[in-house]
Amino acid sequence: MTNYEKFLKFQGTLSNKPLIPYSSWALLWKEKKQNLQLYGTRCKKCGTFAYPRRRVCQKCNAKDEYEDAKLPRSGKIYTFAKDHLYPSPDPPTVMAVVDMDGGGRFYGQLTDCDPAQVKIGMPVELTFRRFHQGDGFYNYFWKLRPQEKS
Amino acid sequence: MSIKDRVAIIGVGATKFGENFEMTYQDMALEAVYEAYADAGLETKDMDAAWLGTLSPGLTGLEGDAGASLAEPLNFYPRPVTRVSAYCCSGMEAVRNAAFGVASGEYKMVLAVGVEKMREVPPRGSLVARHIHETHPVISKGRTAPGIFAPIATRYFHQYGYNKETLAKVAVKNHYNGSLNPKAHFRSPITEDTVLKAPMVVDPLGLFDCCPTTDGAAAAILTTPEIAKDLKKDYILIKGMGLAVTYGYFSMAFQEDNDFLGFKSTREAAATAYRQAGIKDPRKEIHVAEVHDCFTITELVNYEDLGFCGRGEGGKIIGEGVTALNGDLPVNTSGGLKSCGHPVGATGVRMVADVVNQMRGRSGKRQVKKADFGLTHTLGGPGSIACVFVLGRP
Repeated sequence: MTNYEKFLKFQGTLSNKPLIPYSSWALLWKEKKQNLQLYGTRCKKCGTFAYPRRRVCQKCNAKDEYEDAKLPRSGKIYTFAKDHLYPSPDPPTVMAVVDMDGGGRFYGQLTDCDPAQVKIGMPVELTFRRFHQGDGFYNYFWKLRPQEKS
Repeated sequence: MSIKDRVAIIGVGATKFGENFEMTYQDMALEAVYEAYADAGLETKDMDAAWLGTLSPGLTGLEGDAGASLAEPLNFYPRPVTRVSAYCCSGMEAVRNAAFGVASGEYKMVLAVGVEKMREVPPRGSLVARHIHETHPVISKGRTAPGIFAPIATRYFHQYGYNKETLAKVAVKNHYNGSLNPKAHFRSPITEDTVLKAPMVVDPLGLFDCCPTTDGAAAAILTTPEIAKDLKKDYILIKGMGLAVTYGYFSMAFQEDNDFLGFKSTREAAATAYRQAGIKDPRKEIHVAEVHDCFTITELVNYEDLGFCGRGEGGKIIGEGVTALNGDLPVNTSGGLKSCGHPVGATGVRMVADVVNQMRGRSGKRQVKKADFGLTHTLGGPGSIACVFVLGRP
């Protein structure tokens, strides 16, 4: 047993009842490009990349003058924290801010990794994962994991 | 034309902060306002309008979702009451908008009130839990309130070589100040050892690096300097006020120009307030300040963003005692969010009330020596909104 919170959960002292996080069919459909296909936007006027997607460029204010551009899949950890508050069967949840190779930034959960090994500068990559269930479907999104050594 | 010297604060009040199970939302609003009335020697018939700051009506039977929640306990009918909300800046937004009401010439005498009741819900219904499961279904998953601020501490340590002991100094200072404040949520002094041995909430932030959730209300009465002078009241002037919105809620952490070492919103809001007030060197010209210490790391980066020291020097000046009660620039003499408590909508108004009392020499054991210029600062959401006030003696 690696921590006391897990012990309390297995023992039944702490509730194991799942929270029911917000899910939305409409949002799933509307944001498919961004959340499932990792498309951000690149301004056709000034070339500024944005993820999450933006209709008005945050540099030159051009409206609806963008093309789809993918967020790079790999990058390096800029900063992070180990969250014991976020409900998880295996706390802590490591959240990392990552500067992607070639531009763009991602902020999300780091998985497949011993929290003690996480460091600023660590190379990581995006991996497609199943998230919570709600409204009769599973949410899917991206997590980070340490880069496989090639 | 700037807001400088066009609005006076002539009365302030606040409930005790803490678990106010004996008071409803409306009771707290009433208590805070009547204390402000007593301070100013005024009553409801003297008021023209009011602004009410509450972040989350969902925590208390939808009380605070409109101005009616303030009008009802005061029998304020049929005057206009506007409810405002801007994350943790909700209280200061009430004061800011009330000030514009006076400065526009539309109203002579107005109320700015902040109220939040956070303790009467089970943990699963708390603002902290709702933040976890009611936000964006995928982009925000894994985020918590302390989780948004903890990566700043990680980067701050990495960049400047500080550690958890640096953060602990903020908690010790603010708990000491809170121990002298009869209205504070937590009134026990603590040691660095207590902070460092506390369980981790979001590593590197432990339990004593985090402010509590709190019940409380605060009120301020605003009028023109001419009326304040006629009433022969000990009043304080608004010298400058700035609000800056610099990012969206969910996207802020994805922005490449966000260095996780401070807040652009605070720097922008402070620049506006300082320009209006004519403040050139805040470290020397500001004598007392209440700043947004939702987490210990936040207070340190606030020092830097507000120009109390250079970038990277926040950890240095807390160690030197500059911001202690007996320092050159006392910060959070109330105990701050950390020890006085953080009823979100009330906090900004409470800060204004505390600084006004310091400037009028009414802060008892916490009274600072000289306070001709005071500052209040709140930071909202993930740090995407900030509000800064500079207050001055006439």
